[in-house]
Amino acid sequence: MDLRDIQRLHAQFAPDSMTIDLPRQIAALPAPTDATAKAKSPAIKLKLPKSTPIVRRSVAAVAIVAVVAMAGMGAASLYKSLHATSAQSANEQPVPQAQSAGSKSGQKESRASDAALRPIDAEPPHPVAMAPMLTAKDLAPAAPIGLTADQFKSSMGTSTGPTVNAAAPAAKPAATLSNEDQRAAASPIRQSRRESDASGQAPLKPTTTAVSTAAPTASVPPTQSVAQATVQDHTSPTNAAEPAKSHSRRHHSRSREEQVSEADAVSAASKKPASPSRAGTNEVQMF
Amino acid sequence: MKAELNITLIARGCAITGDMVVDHGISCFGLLDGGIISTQGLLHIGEGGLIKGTAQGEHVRIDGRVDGDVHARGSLEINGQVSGDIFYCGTIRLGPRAALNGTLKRVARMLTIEAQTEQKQGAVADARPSDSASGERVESNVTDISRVIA
Repeated sequence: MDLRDIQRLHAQFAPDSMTIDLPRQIAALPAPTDATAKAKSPAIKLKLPKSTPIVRRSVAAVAIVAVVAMAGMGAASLYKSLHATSAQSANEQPVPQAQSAGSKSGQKESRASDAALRPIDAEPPHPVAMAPMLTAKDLAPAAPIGLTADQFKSSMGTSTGPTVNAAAPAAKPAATLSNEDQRAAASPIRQSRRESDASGQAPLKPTTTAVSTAAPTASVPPTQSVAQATVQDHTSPTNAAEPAKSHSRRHHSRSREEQVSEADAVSAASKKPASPSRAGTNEVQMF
Repeated sequence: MKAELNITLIARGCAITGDMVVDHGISCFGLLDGGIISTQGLLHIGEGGLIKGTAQGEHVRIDGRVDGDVHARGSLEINGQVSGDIFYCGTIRLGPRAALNGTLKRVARMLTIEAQTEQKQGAVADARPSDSASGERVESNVTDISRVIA
């Protein structure tokens, strides 16, 4: 056995842990995994460049559209604001035309500043003088509940029947009613109050509906029976255009005679505005 | 990087008295009067070689003659004469010229061999060279190995 054979023999049992042969280890690695990894990665790389131009184009198109839309919206808003300011100035021009020409330049500047600072008023302008004036009847609901001295005297003085008293004081308010009162009674605010009163009182007295619909409330003959008169007393406040009776408690606290008198007076004075309210009561009475 | 192949060669006509401990392969074609320990590699007793003592190695190939116990942590290939007990952990191969005069035991794998234990065993072996064939000593060696394993 020569030295070469001895070396060969020992080489067979030499510890392999001391051998680090990288090329051999790399060559010993399983090939299919490398092949698949190398095959997969280029496929992804090939797919990505194909998809990126489409994505880029779509993103660019969307961005362009968004920019154009924003520009259009801005232009529209600018046009709208300019148009609004021009129309406003055109509306305001006839008023200062009557004034002197010398003060036009200074007033234009002040107008522009006022228009810029003034809040938007959507309501159409209307003259203040045409609004109905406040009367004592408008403040009547604020009065204390109960009978005044005159009302108590009148109630004590009348002993016969409500129809007589209804006729007597009815003449006075009818005569004293002025044009302003009539206008106030005919105002839509009163009308709405009357309707609310009618809707509030109608369910309370369902038994009087037949009578009130059958006989008109404007003219009550004095020869009618007492029972019918009382029914009329109940129904008359609902039909009347009396503006101050908006509160239901006031109706109950006041005496029947005064209610009748006022109702007759006001209904005689203004029949026309009372008709829609009566129609409303009729509708409720049908219920 | 490949480790250099270190081999200790006791050539024919060389006689060594005493114990030998090497950390690589060794080939003995001479005479060794003592024990020999090879921590790694091949412990080769070639034809004409004689070991008078305990032989321990990772891979042991005996083509000569061993008068003592043989411990192999890995493979053991005997194609010679062994006068002693044989302890092996891995595979064992017996050649056509194998002559065993002792017991053959397969023990648990010992990854390391402590030097002090081996030295003690060597000292014991030197102290009783004439009692190497007695069964009491073999039992003591077996217990020592089991202690090392534990």
